[in-house]
Amino acid sequence: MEAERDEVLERVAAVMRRTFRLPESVEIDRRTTSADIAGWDSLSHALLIMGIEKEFGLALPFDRMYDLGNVGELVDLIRSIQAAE
Amino acid sequence: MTIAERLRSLYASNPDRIACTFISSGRAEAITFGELYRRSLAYAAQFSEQGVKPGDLILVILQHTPHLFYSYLGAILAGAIPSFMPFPSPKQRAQLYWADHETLFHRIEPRLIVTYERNLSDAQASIADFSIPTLIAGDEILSVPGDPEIEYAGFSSSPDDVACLQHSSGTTSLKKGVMLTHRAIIDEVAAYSRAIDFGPSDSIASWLPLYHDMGFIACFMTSMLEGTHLVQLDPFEWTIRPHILLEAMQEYRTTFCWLPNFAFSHIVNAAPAQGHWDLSAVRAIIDCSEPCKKETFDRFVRRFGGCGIRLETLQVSYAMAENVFAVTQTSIDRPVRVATLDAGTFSSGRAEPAHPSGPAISVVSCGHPVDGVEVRVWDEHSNAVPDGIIGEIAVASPFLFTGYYKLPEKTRERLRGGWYATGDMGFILEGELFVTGRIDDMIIVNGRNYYAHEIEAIVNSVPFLLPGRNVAIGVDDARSDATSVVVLAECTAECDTDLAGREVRRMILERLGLAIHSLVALPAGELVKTTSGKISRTKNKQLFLERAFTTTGHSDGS
Repeated sequence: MEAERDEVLERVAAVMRRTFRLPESVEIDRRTTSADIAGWDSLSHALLIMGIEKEFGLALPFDRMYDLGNVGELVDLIRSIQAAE
Repeated sequence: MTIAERLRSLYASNPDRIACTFISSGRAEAITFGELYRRSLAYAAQFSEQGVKPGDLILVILQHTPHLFYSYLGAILAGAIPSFMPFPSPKQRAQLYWADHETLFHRIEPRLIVTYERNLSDAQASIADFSIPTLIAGDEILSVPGDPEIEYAGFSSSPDDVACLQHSSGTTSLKKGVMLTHRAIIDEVAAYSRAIDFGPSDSIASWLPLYHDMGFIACFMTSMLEGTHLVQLDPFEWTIRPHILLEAMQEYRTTFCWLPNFAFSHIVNAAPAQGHWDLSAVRAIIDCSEPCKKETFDRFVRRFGGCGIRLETLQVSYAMAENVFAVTQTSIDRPVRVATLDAGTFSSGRAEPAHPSGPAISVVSCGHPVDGVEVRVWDEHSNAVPDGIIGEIAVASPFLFTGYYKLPEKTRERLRGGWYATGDMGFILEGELFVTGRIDDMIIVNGRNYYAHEIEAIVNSVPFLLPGRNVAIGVDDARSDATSVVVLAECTAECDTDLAGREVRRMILERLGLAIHSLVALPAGELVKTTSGKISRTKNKQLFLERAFTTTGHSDGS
């Protein structure tokens, strides 16, 4: 369970690095928020969502996209959609 | 003619015609003019029951639902003065949102707020002795239908009464309510419709919020007053999936659309790469609210040329709430003119043709003044300058606002002898207006205005940053084609710049709802001062662009 969750987090972190052009040295964990990442605004958020959907082959629901408090909540949302499929 | 009378006559002649289609989470709700009118009357009845009198101010703070339209038009039918206000964004702390509104409410004294139960409890928790009456929006209000036979107070308004307020964007407590009369709105919409050849067979697709002049006047009011179909998308949904606008254009064969410059690039960047939409019905997509860029248009045509978008589909308007909306507009039947200017003389304030071999810059035309509108370019003493000289843009027109609500001094600063000093810089060439930037410290991010000094005041309270030793600047990002804010701040020797960067981003996000790009932490004494000892935004911005500062936000500096 825990190892699988880490794998989702790692893939999310990789999409974030590509989207926000972050070097490897930037740490991304479950507590990371938009305030921690330079350039993460409402427009680049759209590119992140697109990248996540492509990476995981799923569609995220509109009503959840704006109330995600941190990366951990995004990871949990992805896992809950995967579980439902 | 007043807006209430216009709505009544539209209702009588077209009750079954579709007025608007609301699209939310993939579902479409079509509303006829008859339904729109009766539901707006239901709100008018509620307002009257709550004792709202002619001239009372009603604030509408609602998310994307048809109740935005019903409550707003209902307020006009009741003779009140409505104003759309931004809904608290999910990233903004509710408590700070309402605390910031407290100052504004004291000044403008709204008679009533239309909102939701949840917002009301947040407001009560955040503002001491919150006592402004509220009307909770919802379908229950529509269960008591408005009576078309009742002569609500709005029908006895005069054309020269203030019909509504349009609040400026940016810092809440400083918001200025632009007062617009019935006559100004109706006449401007008519004049602008002639300028763009907009007629009964046209229709509009929009994702724009209604608290901004482009969404409010160009889309909402134009549709309501001209009796045409408006397809309205949710702004939040559009941001995440911008191609839903293209889907709406295809599905409803809409002919007109207004977009700020960044939106063109956002659609190109975020629309699915393989996506194809039939956009052959689109007559014009009009770029306004920010300086428009030639490259933006070129990219859009390259991406959507196969969908029916031609260079002449993309047009430009220079618009502002103080003139209801459009000041100038390009001719919608031909490509927009682009002036190629000598970069050297341009930076010294003159627009001269570029030498074939020399450095050049391109400026996109905003077109000719709309019928009835006069445009001048002034020097600092309000004397008109010759063509090709850059100065402040001033506007005189029959559609001008009557002033800022309860701000007589701000009104006198800007509105003098029938001329409105816009604060925008530009020049005129052969009758066409070219806009080049702003005079003041305003930074426009995704169509919203922020003041550098407001951002700097927030940064002042961050630990380990030296108070009063920072500047906020707007930096254009070539990739997203949007402006983002960078803060340059001097810090103490023991400052953890990573932590300070996060703190600055978090505080500005919570207070202003603005995601800045990054903080650049500098050693004490690094920022350049003006001769009068103030830290210069212009010079430090120049230095930032020229030199590679090390940013705390892991930006690669591009």
